[in-house]
Amino acid sequence: MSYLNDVETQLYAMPREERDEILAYYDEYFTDAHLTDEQAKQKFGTPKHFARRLVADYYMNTENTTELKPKNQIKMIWMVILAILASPVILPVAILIIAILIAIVAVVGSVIVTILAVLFTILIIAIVSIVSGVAIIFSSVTGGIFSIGIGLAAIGLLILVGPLFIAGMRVVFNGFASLIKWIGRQFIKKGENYEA
Amino acid sequence: MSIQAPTVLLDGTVLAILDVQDLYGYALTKKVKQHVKISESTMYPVLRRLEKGGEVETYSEPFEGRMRKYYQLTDDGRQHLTNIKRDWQDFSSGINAILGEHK
Repeated sequence: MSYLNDVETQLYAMPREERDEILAYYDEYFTDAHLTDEQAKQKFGTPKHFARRLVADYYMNTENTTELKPKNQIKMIWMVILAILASPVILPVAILIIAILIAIVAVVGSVIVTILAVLFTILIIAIVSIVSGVAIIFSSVTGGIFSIGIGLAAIGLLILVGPLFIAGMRVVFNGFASLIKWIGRQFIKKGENYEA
Repeated sequence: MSIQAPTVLLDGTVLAILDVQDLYGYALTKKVKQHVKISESTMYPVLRRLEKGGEVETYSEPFEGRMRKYYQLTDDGRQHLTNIKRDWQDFSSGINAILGEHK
């Protein structure tokens, strides 16, 4: 059935196993319901539209977002956002949602950039201190040792707080993913909006 | 119907239907639609979730030269159905007493 083939090409954001399951289910369903491609389109929407809904459903039903790899999480967030935007909501609500999403993305993005910047700065300080320490150690032994010491201390600090910061970043990101799923659940209710 | 069936009642409806007989996706969807207003794409996530939660199992049987996937209730599913039925009795008798039976 070419309708399902078109749907399949749009399901790349889903793990292979899930995709095969879902296509087998609808293949059987369409056959049992004696749906032609045209009727399927009337009932389920365009292949692209239907596929987005399936992907959004899948990711919103994946209970634990941390099970997903970060790459899949970004996919998930993107798919849910697309599904929200594709669902028929009144214009003011849509504008509000988009504004809130942009704000959230900006906040999460800035937190992550800040954390990375801090880590990067500490790394630069460490490298510069050690290099300059080595450079001046022959003219001033104490000055050189002092500078190298600062550099090593900075590396120590990095090793100490680095994983902490990265973990914090993950928490923020996972929270963000859960929030997106929650927003998605509020607006994409059990396929009601998609009833043809 | 302007009151949307919550997930637990949709689960209960599916489990109750499967308690009577094993069914395949399309037939099951048709049955559920006789009781709850749902769209055709509602059933897949529900079945997938019940299957992952060990409340239903699937098996395949040949039909007209292809395989049909049947859904079957497990003991866990039957237990869950009993709980949902009891909860629903509690809930509905309370609401019925105040909202029901006015014609």
